[in-house]
Amino acid sequence: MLQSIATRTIVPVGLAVTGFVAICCLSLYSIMKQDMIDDAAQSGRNIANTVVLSTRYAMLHNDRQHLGSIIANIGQHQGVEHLRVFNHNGVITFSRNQTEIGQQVNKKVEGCSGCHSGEKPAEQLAAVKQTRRFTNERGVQVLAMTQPIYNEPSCSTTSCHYHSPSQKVLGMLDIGLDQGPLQNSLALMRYRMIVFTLMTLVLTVGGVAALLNRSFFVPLKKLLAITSDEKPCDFEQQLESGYGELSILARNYQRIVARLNDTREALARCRNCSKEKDDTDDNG
Amino acid sequence: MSNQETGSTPSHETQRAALLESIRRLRTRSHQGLWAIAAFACTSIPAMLSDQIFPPLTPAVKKMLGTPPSSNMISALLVVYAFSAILLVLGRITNGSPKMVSFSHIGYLICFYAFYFFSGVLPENFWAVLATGMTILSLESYHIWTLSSAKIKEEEEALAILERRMGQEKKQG
Repeated sequence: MLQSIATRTIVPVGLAVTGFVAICCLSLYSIMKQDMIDDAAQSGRNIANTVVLSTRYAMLHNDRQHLGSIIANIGQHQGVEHLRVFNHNGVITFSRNQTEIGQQVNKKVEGCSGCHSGEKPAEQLAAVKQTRRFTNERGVQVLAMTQPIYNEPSCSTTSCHYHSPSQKVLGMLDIGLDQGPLQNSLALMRYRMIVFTLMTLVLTVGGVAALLNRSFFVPLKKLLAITSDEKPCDFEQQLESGYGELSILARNYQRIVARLNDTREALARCRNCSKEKDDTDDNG
Repeated sequence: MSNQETGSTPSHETQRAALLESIRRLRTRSHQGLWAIAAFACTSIPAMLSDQIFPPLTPAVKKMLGTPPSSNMISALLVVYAFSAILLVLGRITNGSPKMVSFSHIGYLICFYAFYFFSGVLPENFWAVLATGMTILSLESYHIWTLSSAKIKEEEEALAILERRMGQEKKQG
C-alpha cells in the first residue's frame, strides 16, 4: 500500500502543498495581527495626544478641577480601561479611578522601564516603546499607551504656575484601551483563514488526486489486470486508446504477446513436423 | 578496486554477508528522517516555552545586539526559505537523489527561532517556524524512506537469489 505509485505520488504533493499553505497562512496571520495591533496602538496614541491637547489650557492655568473633570469624562468612554496623569515623580495626580490618586507608579514595570532603565531617565522614546499590552486585575486584555507631557516655554514663564526650564518632562498621561474588540476581530480572521486554508487544501490535493486517478491510476489498474491475465488477448478493447503512453504500452504488449504466440505456434509446428518425420523414418 | 578488476570473485558467503550488511545499513538510513524530526521537535520545546524559560533581554544585551530585523522581514524570509527548501526536496524526489537528510535545516530553523525571539515576537510566530520545519523534514524523511525501502527490496531479492543458488550448490555437492 505504502509502496504503491498512488501513495508515492500523492503523499509528497499533499505534504508539500499542505505544509506550504499552512506556513503562508500562519505567517500572514502573524503579520496581519501585528499590523492590527500597530493600528490600534496608533489610534490609542492619537487619543492620548488628543487628551493632552484638550487638557493643555487647564494645565497652563493650573485649573485642577477642570483637568480632573476632563480626565473623568474621557475615562468614562466605552473601551477606555484606565486614564491617569502622573507627575514627574511618578505620583498619580489625576485619574478616572479616584482611589488611584496619590499612589506612586512602579517605574520598573513595562511602559515605564523604557525611559527609566538607565541612570538618567530618557526624555524621548520611540512610539513602539510607549505601548504595552497586559491583562488587568479584571481579566481584561489592555493595550496601554503613555504620552509624555513636555515642558513648554509658556509653562516655565507663566507667573501663576512655574516649572523650571531645565525640566524637560512634566509628567505622563497613561491611557489603557480594552483589546476585546481587537481580539474578536482577530478570532474572526483566524476562523476565516482556517476555513479558507482547508478549502484550498481540499481543492488542491483533491484536484491533483482526482486528475492523477482519472488519467493514470485507473488505466494503470486496467493495464495491470490485463497483463496479469493468463490469456492476454483482446485487451485493446479493454484499455481505450485515449490514455496516451499507457495505451501505447498496452499495444506494444499486445504485439509482443502476439509475436510470442506466433513463435510458440511455429515451434510447435516444427516439433510436430520433426516428430512426424522421425515416425516416417522409423516405419520406413 | 573491484573484484572483477582483480579477477577474483567473492565467495557466496562473502556476498551474502555484504548484502545483509547493506540491508542493515539501509534500514538504519531509512529511519534517519525520523531522528531529524525528533531532534527538531526537541529544539522546538524550549522555543515554545521561551517566555517561561528564558529571562527577558536586558537593555544592555539589546543594545549590544543592535536593532533586530522587523518581524515582517523575518516572516518573508521564512516563506522564501520554506518555498526554496520544499522545491529542492521535490527536485531530489524527482531525480531519485540518494542524498541523506540534511540536519542543516534544523540549524536554519533554530536561527529563525532566535531571530523571532530577539525581535520579541516568537510566541506569535512559533507555529509558522514549526510548520516549516515539520514540512521540510517530513518530505525529506519520506523521500529517504521510500528510496531506502526500494533499495532494501532490491537487496532482499538479490539475497533470495543468492540463497537459492547456495542451496542448489549444497544439494549438488
